[in-house]
Amino acid sequence: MSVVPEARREHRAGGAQMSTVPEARVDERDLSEQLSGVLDAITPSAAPVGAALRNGKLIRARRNVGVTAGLAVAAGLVVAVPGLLHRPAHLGVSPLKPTVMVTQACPSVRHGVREPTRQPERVVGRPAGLPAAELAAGRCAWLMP
Amino acid sequence: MDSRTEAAFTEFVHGRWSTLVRLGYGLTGDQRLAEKLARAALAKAYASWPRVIRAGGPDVYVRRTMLNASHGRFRRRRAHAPETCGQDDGSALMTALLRLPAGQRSVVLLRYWMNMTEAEVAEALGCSVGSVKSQASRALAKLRVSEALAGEILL
Repeated sequence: MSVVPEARREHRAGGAQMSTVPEARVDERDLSEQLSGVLDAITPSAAPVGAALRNGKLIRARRNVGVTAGLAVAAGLVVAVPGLLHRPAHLGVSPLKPTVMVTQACPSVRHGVREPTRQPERVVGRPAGLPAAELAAGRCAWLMP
Repeated sequence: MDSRTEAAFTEFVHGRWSTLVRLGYGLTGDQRLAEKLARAALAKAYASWPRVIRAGGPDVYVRRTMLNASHGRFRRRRAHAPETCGQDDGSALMTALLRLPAGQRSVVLLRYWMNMTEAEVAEALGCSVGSVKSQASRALAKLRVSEALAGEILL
């Protein structure tokens, strides 16, 4: 298909040792010509402009749907789980559990932050010397949720 | 997108289609597959046209998309070249070319068919110039000793 490069011919004939650079250049030029010969012989079909446009629009539409869905999920997370994003740092308790502040209604009741139960919770405490009857009469706090 | 973008894209497709199909043929050895690769790369380019223009032009983007798709296909199938590649005059060269690993084949096509510089090939393939040089050297060495080319063409 192609002629033997000059450098190689001399080398094969037992001539002086030649640098490989000229041979490599011949190689590369030869390869370039052969590739052009093979690939330029290909006759492509008509340029599919319409199909490329349609598929491109489809890809873009799919991408937009994906982005919109992602944003919707993110927005849902922000709305549904605010505690994940706005965790109060000043309270040492979980914001998911409501708390009430109990002020000291009677001397025996420990004040501070509590978690209420579902039912009205009676704070049981009996100061020294206070009879149980007085507690029952409502002199102590009721902890309501 | 507006009609100006569509017009620019249409002009680009008309101007590059043949080259892209030929590049695809060099990468795959199959014209139908080559046209499919080129069509998919063009569709992807159109989907991101403004970004593609900003990033340095559609030529680079489409070429790189085709090379990546061809490498991916090569990895998935783990297949090397078909034993024969038609009976035309270039069959031996195509057979030898398709026996090269995908990276070396890409370097050969970009460097010796598209006549790109080593730096341009490195940019197109996302690798270093040194890597391009070594891949080209290995590819040429393999093509020289290729059985398919022996006796038919001398590299």
